[in-house]
Amino acid sequence: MSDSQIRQELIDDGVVVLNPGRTLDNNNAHEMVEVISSTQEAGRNNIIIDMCDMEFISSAGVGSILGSVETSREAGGDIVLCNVSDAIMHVLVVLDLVDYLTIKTDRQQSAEFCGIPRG
Amino acid sequence: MVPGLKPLFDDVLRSPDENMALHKKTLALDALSKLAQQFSNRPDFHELIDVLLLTLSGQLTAVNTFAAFYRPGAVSAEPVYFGTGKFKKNAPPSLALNSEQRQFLQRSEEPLAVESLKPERCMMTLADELAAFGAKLIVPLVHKDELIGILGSGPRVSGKPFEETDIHLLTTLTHTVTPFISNSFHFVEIAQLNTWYLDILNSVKQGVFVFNHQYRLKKVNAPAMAILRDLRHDSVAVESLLHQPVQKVFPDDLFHDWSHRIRGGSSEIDNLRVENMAAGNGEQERIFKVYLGCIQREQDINTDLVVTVEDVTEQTQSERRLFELEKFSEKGEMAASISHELNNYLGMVLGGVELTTLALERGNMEKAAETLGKLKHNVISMERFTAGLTDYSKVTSGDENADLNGIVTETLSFLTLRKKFQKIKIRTDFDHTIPSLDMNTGHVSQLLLNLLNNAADAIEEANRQAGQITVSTSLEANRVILTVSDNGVGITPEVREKLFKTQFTTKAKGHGHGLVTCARLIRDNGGEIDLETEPGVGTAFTVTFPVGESILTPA
Repeated sequence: MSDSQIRQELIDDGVVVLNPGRTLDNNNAHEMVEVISSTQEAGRNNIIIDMCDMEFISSAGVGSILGSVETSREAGGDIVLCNVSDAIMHVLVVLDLVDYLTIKTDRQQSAEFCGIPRG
Repeated sequence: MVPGLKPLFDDVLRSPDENMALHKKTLALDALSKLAQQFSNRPDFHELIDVLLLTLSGQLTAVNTFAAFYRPGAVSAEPVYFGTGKFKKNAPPSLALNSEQRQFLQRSEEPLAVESLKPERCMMTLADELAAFGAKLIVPLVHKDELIGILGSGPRVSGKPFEETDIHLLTTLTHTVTPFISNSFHFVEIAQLNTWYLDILNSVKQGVFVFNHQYRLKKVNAPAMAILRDLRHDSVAVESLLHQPVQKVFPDDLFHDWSHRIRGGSSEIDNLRVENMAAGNGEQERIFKVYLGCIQREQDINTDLVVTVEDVTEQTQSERRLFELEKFSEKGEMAASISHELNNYLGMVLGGVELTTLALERGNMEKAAETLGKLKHNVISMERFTAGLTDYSKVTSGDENADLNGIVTETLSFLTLRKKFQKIKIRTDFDHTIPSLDMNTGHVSQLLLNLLNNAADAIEEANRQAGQITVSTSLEANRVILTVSDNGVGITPEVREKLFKTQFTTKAKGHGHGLVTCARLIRDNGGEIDLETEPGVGTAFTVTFPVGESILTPA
């Protein structure tokens, strides 16, 4: 169904960076959940979602992140969003999610949040 | 909205910024239109519901969401369950609803706070279990006055209560998607049923081919493909045969005349037709029992033809061996009978010669002339007997175009000479308008001999002083009917059930092949055999030969 492919990168043992591409909506939200779930099941609960390419996020896209945050946090990790554009940030503000989600400026900050030393 | 729910939403946080509310509505409408579009495209049902739940989660900013779907009319049945986040792994046990709970939810088409369900007696347990599960809201999905499922939500990520705008959007969302969900769920059910039927179809040992009204292949099961591959010596794929005409599926070089016979059958396939057909060549020739039937659906003028194929090569060979054995056994009995009859005549001839010699020695010419007269009479009887044997051997010679009445006459004239028939009154009632049967005369004779022998044995077993057998022929509605009835011992229902099974006999000296042979002979010639019986009164066997171009020819 989906043409998109979520890029995955292991930057440290235990920290995975996901880049969903230009959109996170009905077309790839299901795939996003699958990727996050399998990452968590592999014991990697620190997940960085790099939104550097993202232009649009739908309710389903938001839902794909929300359902996974609790699982990571309960396991001592977190799901960190970074490189969030103004348009995406606007949606997160409208949905009153800014306080709930961990949002960092870039990958470096996100990595540091996840416990990876600068370098 | 049920009583008690309203206050829970009275303290909703109203958005201080109207623009924010507008943005939320825009997001929701966008989500709705995308969902509707996806449902219309009928993607994978699981993926679809997952997207719906994720949308719901995003719209409500809920930590997690779930859905349960119920099969139509299935009260108390386990629902098909989906969940996101922590709700993903296990469904709450209470989701198998009883009819009272189902009716309650059917009446409530709007979102219900889990807490508000508690005062309702029938919902009390459900509410407790849902609360323990972490659910805060449920939305009954009602389509055409029937509860098809439930959507549920956990708490909001902010920990704040749901807002009125959220509830309004949730109501709109569920009302919009419910018909799509219902349709998609039905598609899933149909697909599962289809798989189930295919599994059944593939589990039978017979090959099943379904052709449409234009004799093009619509469906085929795995055993059918195995038969085709075995005979064709290739690995022909199902896809390459689907929609192909019958002559491509059953090519004449391998399936001798099958396509013609199958096409010929479908013009009159309101009844099941059974034929034995050969396929393959040389030593690899196989015999198949081919059942031709039709599927006629209401409001559909096009009839599908179902061709069920069963390899009966081994069975046929075994029956042929039985048939030969039966003939052999019959010949042995006949030889003993002939020997017995001839001995009787020879005894009388010898006695006559001795009496004549004695009369001549005593010079009693008158007595000698009298005994010579009797001697001549006995020799004439002997001649008649041997002439009868010759005629009988003619009717068993295997010529085609059997004259049924003639065969009955010849067989009876021979049989009545046998001892066990001599005390039995045999009556015939012929219809002289019946056409000759296009079948082996030897087979008809064999069949008749079996039926008459059985009748005589039944009379003997009943110890009848006035045993009677009636053989009649008639032509009814394009069918030639042969009936052999007796006033013998009759057949009990238990015995009747096993009657046409190999090696079943009630006779002390029987081998159980007679009626099996009869049934096979009749089937081989496109006929049917049936019987009416009453224990202690008698039995009537009715053999029906269909009149058709291939079965009967004018006399």
